[in-house]
Amino acid sequence: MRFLNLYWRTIKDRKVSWPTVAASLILYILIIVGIYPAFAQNPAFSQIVKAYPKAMLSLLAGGSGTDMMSPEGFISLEFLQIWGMIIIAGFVMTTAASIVAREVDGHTMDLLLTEPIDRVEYLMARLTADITMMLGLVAVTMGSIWAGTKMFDFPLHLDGVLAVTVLIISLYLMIECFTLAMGVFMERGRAIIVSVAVLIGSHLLNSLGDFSDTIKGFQWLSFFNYYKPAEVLKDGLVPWPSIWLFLGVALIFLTIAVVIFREKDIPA
Amino acid sequence: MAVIETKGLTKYYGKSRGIEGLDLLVNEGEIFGFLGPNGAGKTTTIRSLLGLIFPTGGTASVFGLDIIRDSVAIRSRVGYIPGEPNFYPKMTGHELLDYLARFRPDHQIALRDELVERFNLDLKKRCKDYSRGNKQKLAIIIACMHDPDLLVLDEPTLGLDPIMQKEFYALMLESSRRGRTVLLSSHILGDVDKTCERVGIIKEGHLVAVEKVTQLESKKVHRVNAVFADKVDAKEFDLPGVTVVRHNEKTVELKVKGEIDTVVKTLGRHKLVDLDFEHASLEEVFLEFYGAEEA
Repeated sequence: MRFLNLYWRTIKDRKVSWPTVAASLILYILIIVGIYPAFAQNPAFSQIVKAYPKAMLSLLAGGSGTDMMSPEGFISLEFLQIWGMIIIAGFVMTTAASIVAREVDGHTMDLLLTEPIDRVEYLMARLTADITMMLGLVAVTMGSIWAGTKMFDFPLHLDGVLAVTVLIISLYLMIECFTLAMGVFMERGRAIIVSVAVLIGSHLLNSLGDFSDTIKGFQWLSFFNYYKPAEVLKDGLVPWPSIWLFLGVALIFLTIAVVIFREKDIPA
Repeated sequence: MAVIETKGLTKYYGKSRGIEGLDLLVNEGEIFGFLGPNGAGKTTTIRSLLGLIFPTGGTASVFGLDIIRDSVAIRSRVGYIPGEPNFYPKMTGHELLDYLARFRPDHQIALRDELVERFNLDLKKRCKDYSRGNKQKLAIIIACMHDPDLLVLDEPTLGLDPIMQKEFYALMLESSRRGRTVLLSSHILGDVDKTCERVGIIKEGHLVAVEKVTQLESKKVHRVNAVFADKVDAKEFDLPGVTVVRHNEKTVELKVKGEIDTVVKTLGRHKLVDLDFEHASLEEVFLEFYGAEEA
């Protein structure tokens, strides 16, 4: 009962923002998928892409070697690597930072924790609600991409779409748990800034590592090094090592969040 | 039976002292006042008992349950009114009460409507639109609507108008008559004076005294205002336990701690025009505990 009460309240709190984000994703994806045939059929674009500096392509596509003219490379470049990450990860970070930090900042944590609610139950209920909303956004995203393959000349394999779905769910779970843990330690704004900084830093590390031997040695630290949606879309194979890695990191930060929050003094 | 019992309860925030070695005993069915100036450690004690912060030393139990291990079980029987209530700004009062009520499914919400009517609160408003006083009323309703076995009140009347304060005191006394226990923390002596049976006085994180309110009141502190027919030298009142508060040729105002016989005899040496003799307020008695410090 208490779990469900917290769960539904968390969902209700996003009754405006979630549909807005979901609608934005659908529109954006359909536009991107819709323009792909014109892009792919125009040889001029192909020449422009070939003329692009490799470093620039790497920055935009999250690592060199992505074939932008293929549907897999195109959707990765235009959505899964950058804009999808910004929109969905932004939503995930905002909700995750709200679980503890927002309630503490707004002094409403007192209101909840003077009710008979176990702290771990509180975290899990709120996190489950956030994960539900994240799964909803992923479903909307991948559903829109799949719908796009039927509506436009955008040939993708279902196996690849499903494999990428599993990959990005694990990625966003990791981001969710990381931001949650940051929100236990610090105020909401700072927790989001730290998460965004890690995301951008990880992207730069992975991209620039392709062109610098010095940085290349540290590429393994970037989670983008394990996130290759174009390859997964093309191969149609679930990248279990990457998924286990993301889930492992998620579990570590979730454990940190639980352990610290259980002992955390709630400031007056 | 002890409802609240702390033994050597200590809380440090880093190097900063919250409370230190606090031994407190609150019995079932009593209204216990917890008095002290701001920063003395009242809120730290309350937040420790409610599991919002964790003690750095000592032990404490509520209903015989450990405040850390059994915190959820304790909170299921406790109502809490904070000094500065904060709510979700976009929720209406009605939505908030519904939301919080669902955390206690085993409890009846019998008192809720009665309390809303009694404190005359419009539940259709959003929390952000409530005035300070109305927020306090909402906090009172939240704390009391489940008829908890223990009410923990941290400066509960801040922002309430005198009529609502009176209503609140009446509610406390009714709760006590039904066998409920109340821990009332305040730095306003009027709050304690009207309702409490016993008072614990906390100073700089230590419990310095626990007294019955009647005993506290009966401590011999008097205020004397005398008007004489002729000039009087203030030095005449330089007596043990006597402080000359004000002197102006023919008038003198004295604060007398303890025995008054000598003062009366000294006054009697002169021709008096007027004499006002009153017991010191609880606040003045309280000030005696703290000397010239903040009250």
